[in-house]
Amino acid sequence: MIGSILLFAIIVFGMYVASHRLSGVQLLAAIVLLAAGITLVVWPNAATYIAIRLNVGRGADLVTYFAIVGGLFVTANFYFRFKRQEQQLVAVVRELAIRNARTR
Amino acid sequence: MDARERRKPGLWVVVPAFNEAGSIANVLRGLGAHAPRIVVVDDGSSDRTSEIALGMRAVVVRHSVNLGQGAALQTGIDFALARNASHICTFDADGQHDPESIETMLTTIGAFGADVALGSRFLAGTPQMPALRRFILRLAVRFTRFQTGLQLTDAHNGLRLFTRSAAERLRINQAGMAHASEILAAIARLRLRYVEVPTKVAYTDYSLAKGQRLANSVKILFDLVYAAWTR
Repeated sequence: MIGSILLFAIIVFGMYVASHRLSGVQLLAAIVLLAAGITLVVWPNAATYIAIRLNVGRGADLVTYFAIVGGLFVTANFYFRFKRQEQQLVAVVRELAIRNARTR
Repeated sequence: MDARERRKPGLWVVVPAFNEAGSIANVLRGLGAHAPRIVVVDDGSSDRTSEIALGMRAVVVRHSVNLGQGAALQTGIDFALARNASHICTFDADGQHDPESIETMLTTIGAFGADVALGSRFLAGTPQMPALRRFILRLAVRFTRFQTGLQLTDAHNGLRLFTRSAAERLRINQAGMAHASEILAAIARLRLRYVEVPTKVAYTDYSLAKGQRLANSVKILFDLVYAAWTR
């Protein structure tokens, strides 16, 4: 039951992602994420199998670690984008301001 | 062209102002005798800063949203360069600077063939500076020496004078308050010749209230680390 709900969620995520234009890196990340999600739902023991080979022990821990690292990347990505857009905003506001310089 | 324009051809004074309705008139009045051309960059004020500045016959360039003092300075510099400025002076709107310092900076920059003159509160001694502020500014000076190698006595003084060529090469990307350190780093990187000029600073209740809070120095540090990391 939970498996089919998760699969459904992953497929919806995949369709959502596919409906947007993505850069090469983003597309690659989405595909890897989708594949990993489907794998873990279909073979829940896969995480444990890899975790043992990587000396982590528990599959749940492994997934958590990856999620944390992934979360950090996403956060950084948003932060850099925010900074870039801030620079663009400055450029627009500056140009408007100089164009509309006033004297009495 | 009147007498003071002949004495200072091409000098533009850039006054970044955010909600300075209380002090801008006095500042512009004080500047009047020393600066023929003034551009007030209203950084999205919600008060009457722009109207008052217009009434004082300054040119007003207004940001439609508040971007920060660094962005305001760069806007003013861009504007002055477009108006063929030969020298650009940055001057705070809170009334802490002495307009007579502009004269001193112009003379000094000419005498030393320098690209930039920087006002220093510590060369002249500012007796009424609060002790805690003095301590923090000393720390900032140490940080600047460490970061840029510039041997300065003051780090975050809003009073500066640039020659046209120096202003053209300078680019302030720090929209917020970290621009002061960014300017110094740029001076070091571009190998600009700089002189420090002793300036009096009037610490009034008003300028202290408008001045930097201590917590802000942490944010400035963070902005600088971020900038160094992404360069």
